Amino acid sequence: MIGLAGASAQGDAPARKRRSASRPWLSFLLRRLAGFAAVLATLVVVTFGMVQLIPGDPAQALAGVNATDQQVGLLRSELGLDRPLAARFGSYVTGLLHGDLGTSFQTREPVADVIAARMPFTAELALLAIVVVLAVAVPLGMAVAVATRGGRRRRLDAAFTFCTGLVGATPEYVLGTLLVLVFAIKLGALPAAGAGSVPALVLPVVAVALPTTCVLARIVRREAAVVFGQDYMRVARGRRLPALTLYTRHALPNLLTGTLTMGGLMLAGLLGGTVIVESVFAWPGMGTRVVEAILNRDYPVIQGTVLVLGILATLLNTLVDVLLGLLDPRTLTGRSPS
Amino acid sequence: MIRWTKRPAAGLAAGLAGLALIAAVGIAAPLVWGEDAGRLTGAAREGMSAAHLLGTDALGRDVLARTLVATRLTLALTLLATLIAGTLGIGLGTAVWVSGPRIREIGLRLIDVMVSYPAVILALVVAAVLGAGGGAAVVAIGVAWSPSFARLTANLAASVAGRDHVATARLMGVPPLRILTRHLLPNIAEPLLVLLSVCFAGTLTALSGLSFIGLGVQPPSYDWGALLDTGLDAVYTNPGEALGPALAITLTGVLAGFVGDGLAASADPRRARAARRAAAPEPAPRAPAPGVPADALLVVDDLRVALPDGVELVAGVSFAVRRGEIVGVVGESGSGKSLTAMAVAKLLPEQVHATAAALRLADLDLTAPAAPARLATEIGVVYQDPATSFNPGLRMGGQITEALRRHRRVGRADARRRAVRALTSVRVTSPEHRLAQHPHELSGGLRQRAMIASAVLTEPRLLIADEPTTALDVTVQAEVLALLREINERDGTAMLFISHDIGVIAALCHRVLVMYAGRIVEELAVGDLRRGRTRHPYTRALLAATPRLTGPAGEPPATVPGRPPEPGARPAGCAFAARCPRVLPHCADEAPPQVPSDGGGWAACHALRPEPAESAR
Amino acid sequence: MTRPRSAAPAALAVSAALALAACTTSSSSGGGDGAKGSATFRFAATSDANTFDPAKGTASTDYAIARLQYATLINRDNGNKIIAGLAEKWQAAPTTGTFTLRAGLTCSDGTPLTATAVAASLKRWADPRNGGSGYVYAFGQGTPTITADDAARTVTVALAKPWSDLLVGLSLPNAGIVCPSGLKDPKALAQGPVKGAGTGAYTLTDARRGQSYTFERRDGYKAAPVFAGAAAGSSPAGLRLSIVSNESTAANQLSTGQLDYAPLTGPDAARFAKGGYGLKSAPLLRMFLVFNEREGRPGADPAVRRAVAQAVDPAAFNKVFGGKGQVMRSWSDSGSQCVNTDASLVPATDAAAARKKLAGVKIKLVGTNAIANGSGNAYVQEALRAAGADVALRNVDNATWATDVLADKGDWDVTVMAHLNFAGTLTSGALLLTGPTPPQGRNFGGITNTAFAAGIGKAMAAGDEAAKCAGWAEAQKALLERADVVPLATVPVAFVFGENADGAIVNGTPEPSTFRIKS
Repeated sequence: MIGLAGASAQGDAPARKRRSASRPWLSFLLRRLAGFAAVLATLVVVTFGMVQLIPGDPAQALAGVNATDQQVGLLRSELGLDRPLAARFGSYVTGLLHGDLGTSFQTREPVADVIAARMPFTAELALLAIVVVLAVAVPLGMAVAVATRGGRRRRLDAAFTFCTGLVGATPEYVLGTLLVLVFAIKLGALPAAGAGSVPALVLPVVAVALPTTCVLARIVRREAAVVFGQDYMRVARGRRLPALTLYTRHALPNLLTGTLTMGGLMLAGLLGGTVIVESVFAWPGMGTRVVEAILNRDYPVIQGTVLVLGILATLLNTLVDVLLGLLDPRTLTGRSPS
Repeated sequence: MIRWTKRPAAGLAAGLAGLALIAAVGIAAPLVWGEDAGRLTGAAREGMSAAHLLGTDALGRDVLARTLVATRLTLALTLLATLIAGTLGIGLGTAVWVSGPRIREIGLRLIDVMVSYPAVILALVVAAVLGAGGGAAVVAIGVAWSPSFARLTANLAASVAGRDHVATARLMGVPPLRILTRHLLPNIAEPLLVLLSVCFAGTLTALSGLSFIGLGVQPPSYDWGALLDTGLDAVYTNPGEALGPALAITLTGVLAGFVGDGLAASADPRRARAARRAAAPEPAPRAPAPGVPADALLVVDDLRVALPDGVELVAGVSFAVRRGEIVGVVGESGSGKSLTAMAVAKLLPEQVHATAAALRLADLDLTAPAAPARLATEIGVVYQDPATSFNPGLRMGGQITEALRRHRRVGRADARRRAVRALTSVRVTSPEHRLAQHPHELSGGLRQRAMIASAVLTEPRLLIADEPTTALDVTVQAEVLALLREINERDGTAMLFISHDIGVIAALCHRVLVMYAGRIVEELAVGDLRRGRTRHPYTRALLAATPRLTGPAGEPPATVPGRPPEPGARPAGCAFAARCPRVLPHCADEAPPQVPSDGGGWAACHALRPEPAESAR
Repeated sequence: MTRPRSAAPAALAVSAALALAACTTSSSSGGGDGAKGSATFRFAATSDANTFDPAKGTASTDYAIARLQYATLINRDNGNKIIAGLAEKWQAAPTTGTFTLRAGLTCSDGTPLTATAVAASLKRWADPRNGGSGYVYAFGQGTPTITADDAARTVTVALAKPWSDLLVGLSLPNAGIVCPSGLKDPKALAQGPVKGAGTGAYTLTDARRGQSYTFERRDGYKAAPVFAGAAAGSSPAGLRLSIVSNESTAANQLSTGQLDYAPLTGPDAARFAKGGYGLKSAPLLRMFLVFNEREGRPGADPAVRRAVAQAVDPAAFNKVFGGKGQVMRSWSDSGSQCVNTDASLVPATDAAAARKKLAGVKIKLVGTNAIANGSGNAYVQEALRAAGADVALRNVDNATWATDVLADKGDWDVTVMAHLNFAGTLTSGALLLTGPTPPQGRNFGGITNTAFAAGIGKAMAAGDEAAKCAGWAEAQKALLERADVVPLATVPVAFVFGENADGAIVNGTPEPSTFRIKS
């Protein structure tokens, strides 16, 4: 992990392209745009192809045990599944170009509506979790790095490593179950599940955020140790700045480049990766909807959600890179080998 | 790039030992408890009891036995998934790197998206395509993790590819694939190994997560995830059933985490320095204080810099710097010259601490906690490597004026004006523009001049320059030296100039201190040095190793046979004794006297003693 | 804190938290937001609704929503007793039925509900082109002729072939009557509430897909069925159905007072044995083995089928699901009308006898993993293995199972059929075991058992219950004799009501219109 962060942050500074150095943002955006188009095209083709590979006939699955073959056939033509694959792909792409993600096999709702109904819940959970993760992991990691710099407080170091390791290694559904046991059932302090109220948010957010916080805090701690050892930190110390200025102005931005490279990706993963926590807390997010769609062979919903999540991942990725570019302009040109 | 230390961290050892134990359980358990694990006792979902320590499951099978037996399949699946992730990812990453620039760009973007794509969703789709089961889960998790490896491989390959030997190989027309296997992969193996262990821990929980949503291993096979899943069904009625597999997963995850941390730490070069040292010897006797000149600006008396275990890296150094004087300190690396300078600047690394009979800059006592404002403004420091001494994330202007603004309370505009003036004075072109630039947009020479401008901006009494020319080109070196001399002549700024290059010292300084193994062995006027009128055998050796007096050298003396003693193994007498061509029998045991010389300097050497000893040679 | 010292408390914390679970059931105090004083009855379903159109519903959530919004002509009380619904009187013969509507019926928007409108709703359901489901249970083979007489308030159904299940079929949720405004826009009807479409006691006022559905009681609704076992308490002004996919989560919400009712199939039900909860149980799934009896399959040999029946012990199978189910002697449980409960018709468990026939026989076993992760399938595999067979088990999800087995597109010899017999009749299972094979029909096992078919024919043509049961007895005997199915056990569901809530379970199904809040 450390290598990943280090390599991308410091990357290949010497091999920087001179021509792009003049207008780094323009070149960055152009490259991003081209990359985005390629990613989009790949996602469309791959998701369409992948759902076709899932065994099981959607019409059969949908019609139920007692349906007659006539009913199944009726359903199949209604869903357009009797058309050849190429024709289906054609109309899928045509629909996409018109902004139409298709209609759910299972519920006959427009897929866009399905996503619009579920996305706010997922976004609420993921964004709050991201805020919690950043608000806890960065100060915690930095504080531990400051406290243990130069090999001091080895016991604190070991305790931190162990505790974060323990929580980080606990499967999130076990963690969620434990949280419910303690805070909802035993103490009765918070709702056991459900969505729609502020108290109901607490446990799911904690269950999503806690393992990620632990992993990220370790990354921050290690990145911080790297940054504290840099020459420019000694130079900054030479300017006798107050500790707070030293760590926030000089260490934090550099620390964040490494942290964001890794952490940003982890956080993007949260958007669709809360499936398990959603299930534990009856949270009506995207993840559970995807599982449901897969179980029901609801092709349009699978394709739509997978595509939208991919676009979101790409956008978040770009956002992270823009942030990195602001924090350290070298990364604008430094990420691709030349 | 990265070196392994001989002594791996305790965490790594513990992690490896623990995992080995679990692996042993995995191998043995199905043979030992296989029958217990499959036996239908008819007592379904019984609580914890002596007969069944963790109770029984829905079919009345012993949960503890099943947890133990499941170890083998769990480890096998986890390893397999990790292997798939690694192989696929490294393959993809290298393929992207080997291909042309356009494909590479798109490939990298794709990998980016794959990395940030929710792995669970990816795994869900793969598991659905292949049909739920252990094989599908392994492929799903493997595929989901592979982008991380691809990303790391591509990034590392890019950074390694920028290095000289790879560039050379490319110029020589070595095919990319060969460069890859010969030059790239061996160089990036270690970070990949770290990621592998991280991936192992991640895979373990991911596999059990798939089981939780019913897409993992299917009965009659079972891994920890499957056991935990069925156990969680009953967690509110029979907690033992979930406890066993939950603990197993968590424990293994923690151990794998230890291994990952340990690998990362051992691969981290900064930790490698924290090697064990020998027991501390008795501190050397106090060096007699030379007469402190009346116009001394900086007074250093018996400065000692020691590690926490008492080993002295600087073992009693005394000198003074007069107003307007440039004092050079020369010596091999490890001689303690930089530590001496940093002790004066109060910028020692965390691990060491300094003591001194006296350490003061004019009226400022440097042995006591001093006001940050005075330290920051009265001592200017120029550091060795201009490439790393500026914060890459901040603009030049903010960094150059930081001390001025904070400690002299100078306003933004005024600070800027002064910075422009200072930059102009160190001959930086278009200074206004430079202030708005980031460090990486400046060349090395420009950065070092900016560093000097920054250091003199607060009009310090003393400028400490710690190897300021070492990282620079020869021509730039000369410019920087000229600049420092100019500042000294124009503003009368006193300087403490540190270098391993006796030629550079001779070109700039007024007075020279020669350090060896934590002590000053000779002090002499620069005229004596230039004329070769050195007296200490070490100084002579150093001088002899420098081809020309005025030219650039760069290499530490190679003609002096042997190496300086380790700080912990320094003899009570002269530390150079073991390498000295004029060594006397008592040299290593008795501290050498300071023998004054004609030019006002002195040398610490038994062989130079005026009253001839019985065995002069 | 050193490593060894911190490890112990951490491990203890985990085990302590897990151990807490054991005693949670003894704490009887609900959360602050309990049912008491709340005018809304809150209940949970494990999966989201597929459709809001009663005619098209295929899953239990669809049925629950349909029953609240759309009333049926008649209703079926416990013991298969037919009681009034929208119709106050009815007459049925094997080929016809006449229903006299109550006076003054209205749709949910207050417009009168005429006999013509009721007939139109039934016609739409009965027409195969409209993609309705479950109409076969009511009308049998062929399309019925449905007529109305607004003046006499009668609706008459004339069947193409005799079908003695007409009344039962018309009491099912799929038979819910939709008012004309709903029939005009079937697409909207499928996707959510349509104004004025409802005929039931509640209207859907707020639908949040995947999350919750809120219903409001219709004031002055008169056609509500009166079930014999109706619970005491006041009828809630509102109902809120939440989608909670994880059963443990629903159980948590019950125990913290966030829910008033939830059905639990897993071990979580045991948490509510004490503490003032209302616990009612009914069969959810009827589990039995079905063979692929096509040429070349081991199941084509009656001796192999019989040996399989001897190898598998239904009582042991029952234990896999907690032992709370009922060992069956037919393809449905004892609650179904005319079901066989005579153990002698089923081959007795005899591992030694089974071994003689099964040793070395290769069997491809398929089952769904949706029920307790397929552990029942695993038991069958172990039992057949113990009898010497070489069994390859495939646990697949429902969709794959339906395609591979029901549509017979996969490679299978034996399947563990998990029959969600919502109607609770012998008919619904029997329809899968007779007639043409896929793709023409639904006889996925390829069973040819003429005596069985003849028995069904007699039962469906019967004019009274005795004759009907005689037909069914013949049919069951014929099927069990040839071991075309191997009855196993039911998987029960526990219907758990909170301390302050209650409701009636009618024919094994909770009746949402009977949900009550205890004062």
